[in-house]
Amino acid sequence: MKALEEIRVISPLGSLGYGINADSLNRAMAMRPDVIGADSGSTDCGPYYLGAGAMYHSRKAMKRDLRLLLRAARAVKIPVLIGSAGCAGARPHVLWALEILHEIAREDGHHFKLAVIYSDQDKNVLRQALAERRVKSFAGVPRLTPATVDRCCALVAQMGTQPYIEALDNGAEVIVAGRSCDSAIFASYGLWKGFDRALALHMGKIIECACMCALPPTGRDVIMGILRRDDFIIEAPNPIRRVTPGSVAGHMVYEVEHPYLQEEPEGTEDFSAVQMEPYGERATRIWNSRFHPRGKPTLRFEGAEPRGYRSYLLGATRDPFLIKQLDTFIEGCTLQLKELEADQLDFELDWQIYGRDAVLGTMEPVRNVTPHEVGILAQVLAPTQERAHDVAALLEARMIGFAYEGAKTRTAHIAFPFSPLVNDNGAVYRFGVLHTVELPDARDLLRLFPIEYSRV
Amino acid sequence: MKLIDMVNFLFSKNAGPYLITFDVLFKDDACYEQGRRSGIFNKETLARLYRVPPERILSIYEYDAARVIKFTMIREISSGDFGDRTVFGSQQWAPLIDLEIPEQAPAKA
Repeated sequence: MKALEEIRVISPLGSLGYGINADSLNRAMAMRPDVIGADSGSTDCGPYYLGAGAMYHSRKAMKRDLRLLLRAARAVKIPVLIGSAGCAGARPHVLWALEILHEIAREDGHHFKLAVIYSDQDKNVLRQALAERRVKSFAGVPRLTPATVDRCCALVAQMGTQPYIEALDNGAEVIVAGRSCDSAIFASYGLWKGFDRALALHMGKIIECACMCALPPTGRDVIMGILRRDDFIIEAPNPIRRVTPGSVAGHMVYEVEHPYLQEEPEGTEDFSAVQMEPYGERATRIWNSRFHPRGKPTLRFEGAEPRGYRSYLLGATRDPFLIKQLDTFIEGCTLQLKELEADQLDFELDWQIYGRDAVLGTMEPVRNVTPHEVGILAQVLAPTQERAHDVAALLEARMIGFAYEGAKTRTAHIAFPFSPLVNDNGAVYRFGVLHTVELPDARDLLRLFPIEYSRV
Repeated sequence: MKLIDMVNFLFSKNAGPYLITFDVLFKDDACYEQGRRSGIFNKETLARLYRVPPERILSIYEYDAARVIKFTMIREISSGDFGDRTVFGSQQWAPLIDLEIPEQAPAKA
């Protein structure tokens, strides 16, 4: 077989389960792709999903998207690589995606070799790395301690390209993988076929959010990357979109701290010398991406740490006399609540005032403006859901009846939209682990991510 | 000139759960050059605008290929933790809208 001149990679949308544009997928399939990659996850939606093992996407929408991808890929027998399945990419999320996949395969009569790659990590891997001083904090992230590791209830690491390449090598036609580096999902096929690492990873980084690199930008439309020996081309199958050097460059800085250096498990992608030019009317050609290998590989670990349970009250006021003294109101309600609960101060409160500074908090520069109406979100964090509910119920009674100076109403100061008044919101988590771990052995890039094969 | 009149895109977004990154994508080379020359994108000015200590502004970069000046702020509360206001890091850019971008950098004292 002669060496491939190019490989064509489709990225259908920024997050599998958001709703694929079926017309664009058809157009993309007409462009003879070699592989479909699909990123389904991120830390972007917060730590809850990882911590609770809960799903971020709609099951129905996920089934529709997966069905479209399977139908398209199986018709022409090209591989489908799904990364960060179920968003957080831990075992419950991968199993959820698998269940949907099997359902579709049964209903639509698909048969293929399946590889499932797990990204869950044993806490002892992290404990040992801590003890051996192989853990580094990202900027802004508190230093990792053994206590935080102990408290974590779910732990994953972002796999690079190695597990995907291994699965492709073993004949996988569909890969469902846990938490993955975005670029790895789209770069592995090209690397498996022997293409340049810097170009493959760079192209992966650009197409991982689908048409976010196009004009007009959107994560909800299909993009195609054409990887060649010395360059790559980005093109949007949908004719209403154009990919320009400016739109690509604008996307390269998206959601990252550094505009042209990107850390990958085996080294650093360097886009500082990248060159781009228009390719035809609607596409862009890109070359000169670089890759600097790191002496020891690293993996990014993500772990969710439980913080307690939340109940909240959502209300509003249209009372100008109250709006003038909101801080007095908040402090007064808080004080009364704490006096009543003096025997059990095991909760935290948080107030967000919509219409005043809910979005920016203390960073809001617009002050001394009196809104005519404000929304009040009062939250309680407590060790159990029952306790949070109880405290919120008592707080509601304070808010509705708080006596303030100049009040024209004797009670009912707050308009609450819901019955029940107290809304129980479930567990709250934080990313207690968001750290890089240096691996003593490059083989860990594969060993830490077990692969299971089966015939569907 | 106000910043909003010089940009194609202006937004904030998570760069991981502990950082919020702000992208100022200028609409043409002249605006980008003016933005750079103005010297207004510095830790002190941004910290003052957002009422945060300068240490909270982690980095400021220019990237010519995208005509972008981007800066990144360390969050006070990480994404989705109790008390967070913006899980995606969105909607933090509005204070930049009216930022006056001078034609020239202020003269050095």
